[in-house]
Amino acid sequence: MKCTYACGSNEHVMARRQFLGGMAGGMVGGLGVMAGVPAAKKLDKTQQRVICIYMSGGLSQLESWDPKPKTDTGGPFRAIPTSVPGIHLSELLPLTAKHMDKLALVRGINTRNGDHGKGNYHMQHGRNKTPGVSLPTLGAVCAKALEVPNNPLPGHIRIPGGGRGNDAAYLGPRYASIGAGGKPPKNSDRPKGLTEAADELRNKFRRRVNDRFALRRRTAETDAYTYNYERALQLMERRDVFDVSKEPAKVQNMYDSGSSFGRHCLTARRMLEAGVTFAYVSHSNYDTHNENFNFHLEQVGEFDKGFSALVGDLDDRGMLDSTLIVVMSEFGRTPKINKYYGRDHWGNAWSICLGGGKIARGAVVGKTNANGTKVTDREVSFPHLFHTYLAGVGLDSSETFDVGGRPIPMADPAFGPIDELIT
Amino acid sequence: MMVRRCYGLLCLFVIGWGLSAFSASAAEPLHEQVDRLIVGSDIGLVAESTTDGEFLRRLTLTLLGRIPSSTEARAFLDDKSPDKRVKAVDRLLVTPAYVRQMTSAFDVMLSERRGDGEVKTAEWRAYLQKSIEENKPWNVMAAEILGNDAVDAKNRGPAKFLMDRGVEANLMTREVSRMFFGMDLQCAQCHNHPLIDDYLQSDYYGIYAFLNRTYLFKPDKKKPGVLAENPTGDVSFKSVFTGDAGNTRPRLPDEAQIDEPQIKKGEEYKVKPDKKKKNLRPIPKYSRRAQLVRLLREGKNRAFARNMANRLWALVMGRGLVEPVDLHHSDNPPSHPELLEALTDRLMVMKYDIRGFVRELVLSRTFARGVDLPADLVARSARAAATLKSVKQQLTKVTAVVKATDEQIAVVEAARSKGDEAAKPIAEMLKKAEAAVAAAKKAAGPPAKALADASGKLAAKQKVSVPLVTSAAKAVEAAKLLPADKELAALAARLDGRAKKIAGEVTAMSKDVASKQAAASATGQALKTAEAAAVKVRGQHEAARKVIVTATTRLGELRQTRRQQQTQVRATQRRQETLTALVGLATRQQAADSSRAELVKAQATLAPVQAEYDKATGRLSTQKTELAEAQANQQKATKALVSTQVKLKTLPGVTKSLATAAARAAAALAELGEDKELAGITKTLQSRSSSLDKELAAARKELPGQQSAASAATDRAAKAKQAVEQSTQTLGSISKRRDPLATATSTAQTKADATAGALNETVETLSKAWSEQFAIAAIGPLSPEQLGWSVLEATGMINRTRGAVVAELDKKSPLKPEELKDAAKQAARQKQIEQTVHDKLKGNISNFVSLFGAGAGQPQSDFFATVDQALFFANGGEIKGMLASGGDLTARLAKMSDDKKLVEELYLSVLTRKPTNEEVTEVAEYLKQRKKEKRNEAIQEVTWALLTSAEFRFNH
Repeated sequence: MKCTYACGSNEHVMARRQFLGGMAGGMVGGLGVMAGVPAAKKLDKTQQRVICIYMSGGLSQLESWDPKPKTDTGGPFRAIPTSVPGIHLSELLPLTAKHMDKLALVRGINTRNGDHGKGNYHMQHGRNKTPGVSLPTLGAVCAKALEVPNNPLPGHIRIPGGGRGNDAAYLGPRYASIGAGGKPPKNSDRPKGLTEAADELRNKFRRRVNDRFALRRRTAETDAYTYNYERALQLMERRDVFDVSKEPAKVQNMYDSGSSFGRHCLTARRMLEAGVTFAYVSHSNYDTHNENFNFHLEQVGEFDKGFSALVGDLDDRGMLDSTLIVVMSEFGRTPKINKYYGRDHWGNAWSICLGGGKIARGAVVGKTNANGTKVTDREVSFPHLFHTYLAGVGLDSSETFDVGGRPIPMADPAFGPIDELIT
Repeated sequence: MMVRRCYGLLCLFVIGWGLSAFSASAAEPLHEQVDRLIVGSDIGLVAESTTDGEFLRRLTLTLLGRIPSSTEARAFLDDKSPDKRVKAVDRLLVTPAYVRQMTSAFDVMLSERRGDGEVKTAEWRAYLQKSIEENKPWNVMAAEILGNDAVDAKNRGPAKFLMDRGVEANLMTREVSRMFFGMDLQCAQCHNHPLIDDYLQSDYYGIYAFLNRTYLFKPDKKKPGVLAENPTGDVSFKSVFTGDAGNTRPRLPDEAQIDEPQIKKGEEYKVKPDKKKKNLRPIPKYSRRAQLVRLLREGKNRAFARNMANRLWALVMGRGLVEPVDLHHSDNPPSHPELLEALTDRLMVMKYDIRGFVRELVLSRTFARGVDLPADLVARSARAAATLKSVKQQLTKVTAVVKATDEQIAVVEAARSKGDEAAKPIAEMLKKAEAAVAAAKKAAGPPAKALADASGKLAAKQKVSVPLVTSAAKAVEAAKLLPADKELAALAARLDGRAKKIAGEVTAMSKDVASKQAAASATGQALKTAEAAAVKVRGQHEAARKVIVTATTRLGELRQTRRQQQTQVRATQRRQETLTALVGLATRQQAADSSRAELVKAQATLAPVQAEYDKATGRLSTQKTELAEAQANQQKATKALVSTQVKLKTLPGVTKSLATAAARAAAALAELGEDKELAGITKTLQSRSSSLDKELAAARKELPGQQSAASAATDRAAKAKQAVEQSTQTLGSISKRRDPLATATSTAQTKADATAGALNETVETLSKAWSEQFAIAAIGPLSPEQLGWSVLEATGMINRTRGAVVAELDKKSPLKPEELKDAAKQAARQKQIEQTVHDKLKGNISNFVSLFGAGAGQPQSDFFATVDQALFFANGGEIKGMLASGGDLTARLAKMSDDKKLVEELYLSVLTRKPTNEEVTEVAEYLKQRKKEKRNEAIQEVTWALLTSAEFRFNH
């Protein structure tokens, strides 16, 4: 009587989870080993991490990754050579151009969409939105898939912002984003009047109370709850990780920390270095229906400084191979320049920038025609990109999550990564 | 009214409104029935009844959404009356706090923490609160929630449910099926559910058809939207896998499609849409959603009743009989199928009385079960073997029955597809025949029309010709009578001419009509033949369709049967799993015990040898140290001796030469006289010579001493070496005896650890399985709201706030002496106090909700622990403030000088139980180790430790 077919779609994924009701089990499972509480020491250099920079509003590909100077659509800016012979970027990215040998471009994106919300959803989730189905974002997926056991730091942070995001769906709030603004998280320092010694005493007492209760009955949930207080203590030890002002002045200057974007990039780097898995930095706002060129001149310039510092710094610290860089948007902007010197929403031929991790350095995949109105080679869309990000940190994107004993595909199983980008 | 038949012994359900198999035992109170059916299962009674303290905590959390205060706890514990639990239930059920707790529970359940939308959360909650306060039956609430159009500005609350789902047909379908029927049909949207046999695409679209015409009507973006409905919109579907297609009218799960009135085209609206009045909400004459509302209000659908019975059970017991609560199907059957059916019956009989139903559940002994595992596990394990055997046999039987049903289903399915196949050519023929009729009709049309036209013309002509001929004849006759009248004759002749012409025309026309008649009759005949043929084919088609319909109906029945049988299979499998674990427990316990004993034995055998070994090792180690020292010493002495000997060998020659040189230099100086340089050299030579002489003399003097020292050191080293060698030998022989014993002990240790681990695993399996089957109490987290209000209660925030509110009211509007005697006035005052306290404190709850609640629109029952929660408790100003001075607990405790009393008040306040002696000592010691002036802080620290304990965080 069992149906023998399966389409592997999101809906099934949801149903399987609920079929088993295994979510709590799965989540608690992640905390399952809690006999000893190893102090969070220096984290493994081979830990895979992701920095995702989201160019909110829709970055113009023509004023960044795929310039078309001297064409009807090209706009006023020139293209400049980069550290990789043959690859040109917009002249708005002079500093980034010097790091092109650490980066890669995908220039043949066609997402067939010009709606902000939809585009954002596509790029963050790698799939189409289906009513009644909620999916984890890239950050939650990475936080879960690349989780480092017993790490007291959050796996998934969002800069700027505060609070816990609602973006982990069936993976559970443990993998939801935590807003970080360059300062230690709320409640991570001891309240005034409580000495370290007194805190130790009360925690010792708390452990005794818990041990006694555990003799009656213990469950995975009670264990997870009691262990959580140990994680909190470890995080308190490491609260400086969140504090970007602890970076040397020289480094702060390098990131142009006068601009909020530069400071956000530095915060992200600092936290990734400390062992955070996924950092999401948003840069606003590229939705330039008017005065596209003036706005991009300003915005992309700011981006160029912070971003180039980040790439160089990751390289200097030997983190590049273990850190995937993603610069994405919900879509690109129209080649056609409107009467307000603006560019409108455009998902039919645009680009993103990748780098680090397992991404082939200095690669360009995909092509648009002479004036950028059409993809002419290696067309890809958001599901391919989502697979590529996962492959870029060494994950097999056809893998599934084991949630309560049931397999849940990490990415849309009907697609695969851009293989030629992965080394 | 549908009454389904039982299928053999396996079907435990008799389904039907008021025709329950259990109505015979209607005299039995539901809570007793619950206990009979839970304890009556072969798991039997596992845990004893819980303690009074734990019962009161559980009850208060369930009904009031917070832990009891220490006053309430003490009063309950001190009450010696045997029916105090029943009295407590009835006392709590009529409090305003019960209304708020139920409101919160229904809010979270139905809205899953979605925030403000088209309808504000406050409106929705106000609606729920009013409904719970009136104890509105669930079927009425459900009808209101799905029926409200949000048109009445004062009563938009219920519409939040559909509005929050964007009034999108698929989303509404999923959520209505989840929340009201306990079935997450999402997967059946595009095809039959691949993993759940019971969920069919037709089920999904049955519910979808009630909702697909409903839409959000919001002509003015600034004004709140309302719901409207289209009068038309039929539902068809097609599987993306099999291509199977169908169409459906609205249909509730397990019921037939509803009958619908035929609405004439153009008369669909009660209020027609008007392009000129864009704010006018169209209203159809016939609303499909209203049909859903009507059916829910009638409350006869079993899935609807079963869903709420299970959800209320989950609310009270911490877990549904079917869990997750939105996946009712035969592969996920209830832990106690018979019980769930009984509860469903009762909820229907009780007319969906939520409060009454909850009352029965909390009165059951099942609710009052303890969390502790029984002490006699091994004895139970031995007893379970026989049961396991019979359960295994039963499983074989029920599995075979399902297989038989599957075979029957396959046969009927084959028959249906055969019928489908057979019907296909007939349908083809019918199509052809209908086409032939249509063609014949078309062919017959023009000739018939031509005939009619010609006949019409003829008749018209005849109408003229008859009077004309008559009149011409009369005129000719008249002209004959008046031959002289030339004028008349001419007229008559003309008339006659016309008459003759027309007569000719009539003749021609008649001929034409005749010929057309012939043509028309030929095509008419063809049409008749075609129609006759069509009638015949229609009959055949009807017969073929009947075969399919019969098979489909039979298939529906068989699926229903299978579902019940499969439920038994899964339930039996679960029992088998639990019993297998239980049976295995004895062996594992034995293994653990015996390996433990072996370990102890091995340790005992090893001990004396080990002691000997340790002693020898100790001695050897001392001796090795001595040897190292002696050797170092020997080395040093030898080195000194050698250096002296070298001196004695080389120095005599040197001193001799130097003395000669000095003497010669002195002689030369004597010859030269005053040579300063030579004088210097001579002096130096002399002094060097004398110092070397001294050195040589010293060396000669040292030599004997050094010689004897070196010899002594060598002796010591040799002795030490000998001792070490001897001890090493001794140790070697001890080791030979000790090493195998040590290995054996370590092996025994590994084995003991492994067997203890295995035993532990079984115990955990059992405790999980038993709590899932309500044989012992489940340990579940408090909801964010329960946690928040419990913290407020434990820290004395509620108490302190109540004190302030009472004082304020007594000052502002004191009750007059006569009012104090009036019970109603008193009660009203109490209610007012309670509400004011609640309103003053409710702002504190949002922190707990945002930290401990899952995201909006996500399932809210899953437990998770994130660091921010622990940080909030550990360092947050909120908790600190409550402990310091916000609540009155610390102040209350600080006043107590007697430690025992203090600790008792602390434990009653936070954990609703009295402390053990050990706990009293522990707290007393904690307070003692801190300085006197830090006593307040110390009290807060201990309270904090209890607040952050698992015992506080979980319901048990």
